[in-house]
Amino acid sequence: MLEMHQIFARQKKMLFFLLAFCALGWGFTSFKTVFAGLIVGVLFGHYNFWILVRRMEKFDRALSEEKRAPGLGSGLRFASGFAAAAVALTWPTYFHLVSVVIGLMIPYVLLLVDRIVFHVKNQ
Amino acid sequence: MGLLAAAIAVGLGALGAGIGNGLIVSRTVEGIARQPEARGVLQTTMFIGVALVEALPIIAVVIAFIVMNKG
Repeated sequence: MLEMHQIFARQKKMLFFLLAFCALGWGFTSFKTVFAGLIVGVLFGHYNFWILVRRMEKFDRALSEEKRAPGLGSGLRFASGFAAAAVALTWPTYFHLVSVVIGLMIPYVLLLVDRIVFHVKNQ
Repeated sequence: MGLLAAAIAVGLGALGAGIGNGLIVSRTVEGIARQPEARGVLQTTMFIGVALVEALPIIAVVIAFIVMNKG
């Protein structure tokens, strides 16, 4: 459980850096819609990740108390992806759709990179 | 036609995610039952597995939504 929280904390740290970079890009470049889309996508992606961490905790608790295990919240995560796409399609003048989708997948890419770095360091 | 495409995309994506998640969770619970001391490692692996398995269906849902709105 501790390891999962450590991964989540590292993710948060990296995402704050990314959000700061996107905010700078939004403020000082002409690609405002792209960076705004990335920010929205990253926020929704991080929300997805947070839901997963919370559900895994619940799952762990249910397992240790020998209760019926709850679901992992896949539907909620799908709905959050749906909401991100809806935001981008509703306000296309503010958010670039493709960058929202890319932003949505950034936490997963960071997770993969984090694990690769972890395995390289520990071998 | 757009609706049909969206339904197929979401349906197949969710089917894949369901099978993948089911396999991951069942093997993890089995592993914890066999070796309770390896619980932390197994749960971290399960967490990463579930996160990566669900990335593709989320993309499928997003694409389905876009197709549904443009079709």
